[in-house]
Amino acid sequence: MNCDEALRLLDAYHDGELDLAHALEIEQHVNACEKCARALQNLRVLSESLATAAYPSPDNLRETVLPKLQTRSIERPRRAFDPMTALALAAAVLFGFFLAQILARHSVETNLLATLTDNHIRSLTGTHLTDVVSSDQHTVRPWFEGKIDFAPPVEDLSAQGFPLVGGRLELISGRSVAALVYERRKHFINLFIWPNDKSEAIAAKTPQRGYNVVHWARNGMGYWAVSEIAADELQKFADVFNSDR
Amino acid sequence: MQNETALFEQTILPHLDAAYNLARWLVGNEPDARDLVQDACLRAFKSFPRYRGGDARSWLLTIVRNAAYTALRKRGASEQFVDSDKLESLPDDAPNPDELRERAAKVETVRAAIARLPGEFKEVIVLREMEGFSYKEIADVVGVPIGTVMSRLARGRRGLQKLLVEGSAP
Repeated sequence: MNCDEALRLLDAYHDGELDLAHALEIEQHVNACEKCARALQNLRVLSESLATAAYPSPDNLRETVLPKLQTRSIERPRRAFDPMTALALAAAVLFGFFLAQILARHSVETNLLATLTDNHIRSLTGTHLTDVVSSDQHTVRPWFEGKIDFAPPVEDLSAQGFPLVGGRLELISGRSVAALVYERRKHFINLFIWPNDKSEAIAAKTPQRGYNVVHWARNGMGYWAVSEIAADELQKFADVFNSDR
Repeated sequence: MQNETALFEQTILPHLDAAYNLARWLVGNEPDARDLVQDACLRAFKSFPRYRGGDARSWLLTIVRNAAYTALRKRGASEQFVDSDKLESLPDDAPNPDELRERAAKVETVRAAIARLPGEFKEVIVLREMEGFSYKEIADVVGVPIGTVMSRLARGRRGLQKLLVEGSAP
């Protein structure tokens, strides 16, 4: 990658919007090129100061917006008896009833497994595998600080054959969770982490559309590893991650 | 009806601060921004039955943005922007990060520089740098392709660096 290409993609890299392959190329280039490294540094300096330039809302903004809405909603009660509204309401109730039936069949865990698998697939096909790209646990760990309300353990497992690629934030079932990305022979493992008080041994879950899922919980954190690598390999990853190195 | 209001309050009003900030940057002063946010919330409330879930923040800010440009057109915009060509023609030496940090230390200086950016750059800067929108979210609000968001953001940032380092240049 030359400087022109690097500078063209630098903003996207800085914003965490670049795909993994390009992001790694940028990192390599910036490590070797002083001019582009300085340009990247400038982007960081600029972003820091721009973040402070937002205008805070006036104190009573909410209070001035709310009464207007309430007046409006009181103005319109007659519309509630509109036959079309009634019909739509009936349809909604019926729809809600069937939806509840369908949802009840799925256990919470089935939904979670599906969500995590979707998330894993999306991270591979989109441009958003990682928010922070680094094989250095000392870069990835502090990156999460202030973004989530817990500190995920981040370990590079290169020596054990699972190099750390980076991390990102994800929203799973309405809470922010940490996703660490590891590589295994050109395949990726997404390791989702969020607090969990229970202690659970490493266990393989029902494979999801060809993806393997392994779950465990210890020391206040729950872990879900999702990957297309073979079940025994994913199991090994969990063992390695769990072992006291 | 009460439920609708309550739902609106829960879904939409958490994004009031973001709405105000965007409005404040686009219309340029507090009283107008406040009116604009009120007006936009009322519009949002009216079309709330048509809101199909999805990203509430992007939805509200799209309404704010449209209302802002309508208001600006009525006002017969007389903003003091540096025009895009002028921005491109400023010297392009990548500044020294320390120098840039020093120039950008005061929030008034930074705000003055942002205020001079043409609207198309200003809005992407505000959404990305202050509200943390993704390129996709910005593309949705502004109604342009993601590639355009990326290039406007890059040009806007280069422009800001130049304006900050140039300091008092016209």
